[in-house]
Amino acid sequence: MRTIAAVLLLAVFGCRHAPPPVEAEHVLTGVTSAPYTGAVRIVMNGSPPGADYDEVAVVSTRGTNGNATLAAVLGALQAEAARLGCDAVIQVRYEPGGQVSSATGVAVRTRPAR
Amino acid sequence: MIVAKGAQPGARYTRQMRGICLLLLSLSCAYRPVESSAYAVARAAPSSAGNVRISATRDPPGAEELGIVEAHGSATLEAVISAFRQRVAGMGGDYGRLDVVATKNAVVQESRSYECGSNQTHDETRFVTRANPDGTVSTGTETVSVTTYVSQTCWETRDVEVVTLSVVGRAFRTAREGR
Repeated sequence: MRTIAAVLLLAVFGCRHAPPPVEAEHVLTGVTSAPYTGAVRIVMNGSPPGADYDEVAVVSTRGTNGNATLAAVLGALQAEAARLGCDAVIQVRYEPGGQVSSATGVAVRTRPAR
Repeated sequence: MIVAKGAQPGARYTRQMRGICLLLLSLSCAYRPVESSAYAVARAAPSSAGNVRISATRDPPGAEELGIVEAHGSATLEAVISAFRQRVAGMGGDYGRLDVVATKNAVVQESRSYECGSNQTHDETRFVTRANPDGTVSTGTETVSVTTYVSQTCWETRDVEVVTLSVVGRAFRTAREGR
């Protein structure tokens, strides 16, 4: 009984108290490609994307405590997009907070200029 | 001082059970359900059984708009968009256009229970039988201090910042289905 309780405690509180620096996730809405190694553009919601693009995924990041910062949360958004082969995140919204800050956006791949 | 060892296993069991209840409470707080709703702007259509395509940037060309759909919850992006998809399918759509994907912070009070029992000592009177040196037996009483663990549940409330993820969009039926 004690062992089961200890395992459950470790599973729940161990995970909750040692989260990854910034949580990032995505839902695919297009086709991914090889990871992008260049700088990923951030285009805030309401600003024009600036070029034609292919939509790849909706992305979301969440930073807690020391990582509840604009730099950490948007940096993770860029990293998540780069992993999906994207060079920009458009329609970016940022929600600041004291304990947790988060951002959402749409990861896209810019079409080559003709 | 005598510690009533017989009382310990019961108290330990009680503590363990309360610990498990606390775990279940924590899990129920961590995984709040996703809620969703829809508002039809076209005549009702049978539910779509097919796959619902999602886009956050483009309306489907030549498609019929069926209604407005929203989903929100303190949950993962996957869970919220999955609820959005189901709503779109429920309206007979096969294409969900996300117009807004946003998060919002709110401070809520979270209550938590924890074990705060303590050892408590009280006097107990016992009957004692003693063998005397002359071979006779005498019976008397003696008072002893007995310590037992008394279980107690305490509650604490703290402010927790919760992130709610919400999506708002529209359900479409494209030409490739139901026509």
